[in-house]
Amino acid sequence: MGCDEARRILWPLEELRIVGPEVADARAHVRSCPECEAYFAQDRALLDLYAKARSVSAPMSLRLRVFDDLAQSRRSPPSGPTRPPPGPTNPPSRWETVRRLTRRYGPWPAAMAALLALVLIGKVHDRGMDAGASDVFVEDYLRRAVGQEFIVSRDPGEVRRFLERELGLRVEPLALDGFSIVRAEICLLEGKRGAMIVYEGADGRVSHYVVPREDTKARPPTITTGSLGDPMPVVTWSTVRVEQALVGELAPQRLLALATASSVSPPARASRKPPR
Amino acid sequence: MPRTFEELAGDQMDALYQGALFLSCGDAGTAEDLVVDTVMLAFQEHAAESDPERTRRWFEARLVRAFLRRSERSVQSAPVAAVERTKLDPDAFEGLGSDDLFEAASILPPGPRAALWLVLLRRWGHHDAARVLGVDDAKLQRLLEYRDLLMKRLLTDSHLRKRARGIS
Repeated sequence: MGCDEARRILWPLEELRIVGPEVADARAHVRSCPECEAYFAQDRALLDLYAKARSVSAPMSLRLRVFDDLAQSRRSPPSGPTRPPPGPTNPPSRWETVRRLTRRYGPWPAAMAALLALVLIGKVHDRGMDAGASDVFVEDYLRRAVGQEFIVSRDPGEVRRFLERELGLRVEPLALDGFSIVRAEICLLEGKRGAMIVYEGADGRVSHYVVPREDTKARPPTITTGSLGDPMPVVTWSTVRVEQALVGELAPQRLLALATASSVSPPARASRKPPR
Repeated sequence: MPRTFEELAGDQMDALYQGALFLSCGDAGTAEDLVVDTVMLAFQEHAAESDPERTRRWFEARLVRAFLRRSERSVQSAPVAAVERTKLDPDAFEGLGSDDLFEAASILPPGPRAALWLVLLRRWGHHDAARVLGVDDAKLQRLLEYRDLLMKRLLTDSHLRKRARGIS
């Protein structure tokens, strides 16, 4: 048996295969052939070299481009027959999404999803929307599927800088009595980037959502519950150009008190800085 | 459980980007464009697939197609030059990184580059790789002979670069 044939039969070397006469002959050839032995050693070395690239992640800018293009493509489907078929490849229903988020990331993104759904209901009632509310909800879900920015920090200053850098929004994290910040991450609502800041305290965790919106006027905190039959209490309010919400597994009145105490003090102020 | 296309693409993004870096010889901008092309191409053709291994290969096939489309020449029509077989010491790879591999890939024409990526680096079977590249098995075999050229470039040029940078 020649070198080329032996290499072809044994390719790829790591693959488990039934050892018939052909494979046995090929292995015998490689064992007795220094060139073939070197060939497979080089093959391994090349593979190991490529494996070093595993530490290279696709940059966030690329993920955003892909997400944007996919969203655009879903909004403006081509007229030809190449449109993806309906069914499993289409976005899931709102509550199916919540279930998936819960399974995949734990309860907090699911809580966020529930919040977004509630906010959306409010928006539908307020202004009406061309697309269904679920489109906006799914948008955030899809964005999560292709990656997102986040920061793990207990430092309010660092979180403030993160928000300013990522959202172009100068906003102070809430000073919630008995709670401290643990992380902040970017979310997406109606194509606009917002943020979720997670706080931890003795009573559990709460999340504060900040979503810049140009036409938003100030309104005081109110409890929003029951619109979608979800037991999670949500307190929503707004400052000029910023929608805000607080959600957590606390009693509704406790949540409202936290939001009210925080929203009337410095943190509610926000301003936009010029785009990056 | 069916998964959305965005979930599937998100899972593959890093691996596709790494492959795109090889195919674009380490040019990050071109690699990003290539991944975007790949995902959009895949989106147009997407069919539900539950097996992760098949999903991975499905995306990889589209990466290669997107790459060949961008290179504006088909593998079928590209001339395949004879490559001298060289004996190289595998230990010489020590100290090299993936960047060296990406840079060395620039010595390869698009067809051999795509073939080597599929077969050598992503462990595709010869027949499946030939099908994706649109060539027969014999032509694929000739494309794979460029491996020695890649090795040679990798070991000579990378060491020269490192020496020039004072690393070795």
